[in-house]
Amino acid sequence: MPQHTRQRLFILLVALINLGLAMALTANGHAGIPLGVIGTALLPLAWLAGRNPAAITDAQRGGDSYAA
Amino acid sequence: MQLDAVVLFFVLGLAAGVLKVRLPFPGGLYQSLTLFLLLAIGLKGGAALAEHASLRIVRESLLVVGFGVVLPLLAFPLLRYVGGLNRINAAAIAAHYGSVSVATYAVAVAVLDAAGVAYEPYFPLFVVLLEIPAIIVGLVLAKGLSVGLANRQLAHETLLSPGIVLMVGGLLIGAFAGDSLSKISPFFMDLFQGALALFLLKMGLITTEQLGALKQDGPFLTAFGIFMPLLAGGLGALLGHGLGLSVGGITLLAVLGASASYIAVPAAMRVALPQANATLSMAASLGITFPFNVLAGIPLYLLLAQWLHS
Repeated sequence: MPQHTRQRLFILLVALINLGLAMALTANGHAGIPLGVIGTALLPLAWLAGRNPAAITDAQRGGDSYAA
Repeated sequence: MQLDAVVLFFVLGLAAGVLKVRLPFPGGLYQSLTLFLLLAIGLKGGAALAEHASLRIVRESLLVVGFGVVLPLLAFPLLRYVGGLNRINAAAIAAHYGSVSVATYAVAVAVLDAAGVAYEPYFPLFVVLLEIPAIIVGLVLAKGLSVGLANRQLAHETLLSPGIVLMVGGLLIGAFAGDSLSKISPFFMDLFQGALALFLLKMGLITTEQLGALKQDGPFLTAFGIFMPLLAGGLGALLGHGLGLSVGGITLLAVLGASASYIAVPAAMRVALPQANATLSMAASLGITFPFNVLAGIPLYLLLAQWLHS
C-alpha cells in the first residue's frame, strides 16, 4: 500500500474516532463539541496527506527554551 | 460548557498568537514561572510522600516506569510505517510521546482541584519517573541496543536536566522539610494557580508559533498528535484502574500517558540524536498534543476515569 494511502487512512481513522467520541459524549449529556470540531477539522487533512513531514527544513529549535 | 479559569488563559494566549498580538511577555518571567511550577509540584509531592511512603507506592512506581517504556514502542511503528518518517525522527518523536509534560499535569491538577476530585497526592513522583525511560527507549530505537547512557554528556542531559533536578529537588525538600514547609507554603502553594494561569498564557503564544511548522507538511503528524494522547490516555486510565487508584488518580495517570515531554526529552535528543528534526517533535507535542489535552483530553480522561471507577 502506498505511503500516502496509509497516511490518509490513518488520518481518516483518527477523525472518525474523534467524531465517534464526540457523538457518544453528546448523547450522554457531556460536551462533545471540542472533539467534534477536531474530528471535522481532520477530515480535509486526509486529502492533504502524502507529503513526507521529514522534508521540513526549518532551522532546528532547541527544546530548553520551551522547558515544561 | 464551563472551562477552567487557567485553561481560559491558555485560550487567551492562543487567540493572541493567532491574531498576532504582540504581548510583552518577558522571557525571564516565563523561565521564572517554569522554575516556580516545577519546584511547587515537587514540594507538594514530597510532602505527600513523607506522609504516605509505603511498599504500595514502590510497586506502583515500577509499573508506571514499565508504562513509560511501552509508550514509545507503540508510537515508533506508527511514525515509521504509517507516517513514513526515517528511523531517527521516528525514534525522537516516540521518545517525546513516551515522556510527560509537567504543564499538562499541572493543568490536570488544577482542573481536578476546581472540580473537587481527590487524587493520590504522591503523583509528582510518577511525573519524575516517567520523564526518563522513554529517552532510553528512544535511543535504543534509533541506534540499537549498543547505546544507552554510556555517553557521559547524554547521561548528564538525561538524568540531570534542569526540569528533573528542580522536581526531584522539590520532592526531597518537601519530603524532609517537615513542619518547616509551612513557612514557604504561602508562596509555593497559594500562588500556584495564578502562576499556572500566567504560564499558560505564554504557552498559548508558543503553541501558535509551533503550528506554523505543521501548516506545510504535517497532516500525518497532526493526526498522530491527536491519536497518541487518546491511545496512551486510555492505556493510562486502564493502568490506573488496575492499580486501584481513585478517580483523580486514574485521570492523572491518563494525563501523564497522554502528554508529551518538553523538558528532558528535547535536551537529551539534542545531544543523542542531533540529526533528528527537533521542529517536528516540538510542533507535534506542543502545537497539537498539548492544546488537545488541555482543551479536550483532560475532561475526556476525567469522564473515562469516572466511568471506569463506577
